[in-house]
Amino acid sequence: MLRSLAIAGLMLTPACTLVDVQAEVQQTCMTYPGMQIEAAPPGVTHLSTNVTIDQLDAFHGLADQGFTLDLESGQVAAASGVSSFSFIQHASVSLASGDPDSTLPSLAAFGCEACDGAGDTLVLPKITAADVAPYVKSGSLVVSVDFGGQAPQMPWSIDITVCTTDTISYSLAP
Amino acid sequence: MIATGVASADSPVVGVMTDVGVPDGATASVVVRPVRALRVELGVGHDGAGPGVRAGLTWIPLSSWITPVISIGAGRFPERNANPVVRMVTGDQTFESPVLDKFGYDFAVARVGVEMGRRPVTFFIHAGATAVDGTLHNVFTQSDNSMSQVTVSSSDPHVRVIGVSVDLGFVIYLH
Repeated sequence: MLRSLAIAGLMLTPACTLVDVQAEVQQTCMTYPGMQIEAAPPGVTHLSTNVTIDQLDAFHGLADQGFTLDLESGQVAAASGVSSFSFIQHASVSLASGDPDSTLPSLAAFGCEACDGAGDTLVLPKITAADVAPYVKSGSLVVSVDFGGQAPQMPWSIDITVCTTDTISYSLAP
Repeated sequence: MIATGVASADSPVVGVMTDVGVPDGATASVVVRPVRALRVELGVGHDGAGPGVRAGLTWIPLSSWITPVISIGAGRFPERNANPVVRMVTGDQTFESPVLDKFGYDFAVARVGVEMGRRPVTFFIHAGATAVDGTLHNVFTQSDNSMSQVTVSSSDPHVRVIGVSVDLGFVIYLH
């Protein structure tokens, strides 16, 4: 009897978990202010600009601790030169590693088609489910923004925000 | 011999309970048995950082001197400064962590166990599983880098722990 119980106990042991810990940071956002966009010649309907960000302290801390950094949302806010984004028909934000030796592909992260640009802020839903921790760990992040629409014929600038939802789990079994 | 009827003249009805466990901490409760096989518990506890509350239900299927039991419960320890308890445990009087400035959690437990004794004192030991939920504060501090153009904001991490729970104590029946 005792032997049977011991064998049953040993068989069940690998299936047991002593502690399972899950942590979630609902939102971590990084904002790069004042991204400059040059005045466009008449007739230009596509604009593209990018910035390399290497100040990734908080994201680095999370990635180094093993968090998964899932893309959540992006946001573009008018900083100067324009008061609304009504001229924008579509917009997208892509992320890439800033490390020239990196083999990580460029991620089409956020975007909108037929965007609602009535206000001075454009919220861009995610278009790719991806963990950007490897990109953060590569040291720097290239954030590229593409706009489609009748581009302003004056210089303007935007604040761009990238948000992630961060999770980690840890299990301890006997 | 399973009895689930109303409390009889032989069955204790009201008492006090004290126990220690994980994650319950140390608890003192008032217990009531509206029917013989069911014990309702309501009490206050202390997890080392501060006081909390706990409620529980225990099903006692047998009226014998020793009986298996099934117990469920839930509680809350409101956020308090947990730095003093860490200083007390470690002996390091300089310890100070902003993460522990506001530390608290909610928990639920489901346990099985045995209870020994009948009246006026019953000892028990329970083991099972627990789910603990809490929010950690001040985990991410803004870096003081005035040269950086980039600003980073972060919500406080929510933590859920599923783990083993144990609890032992005794009940003194008064009536």
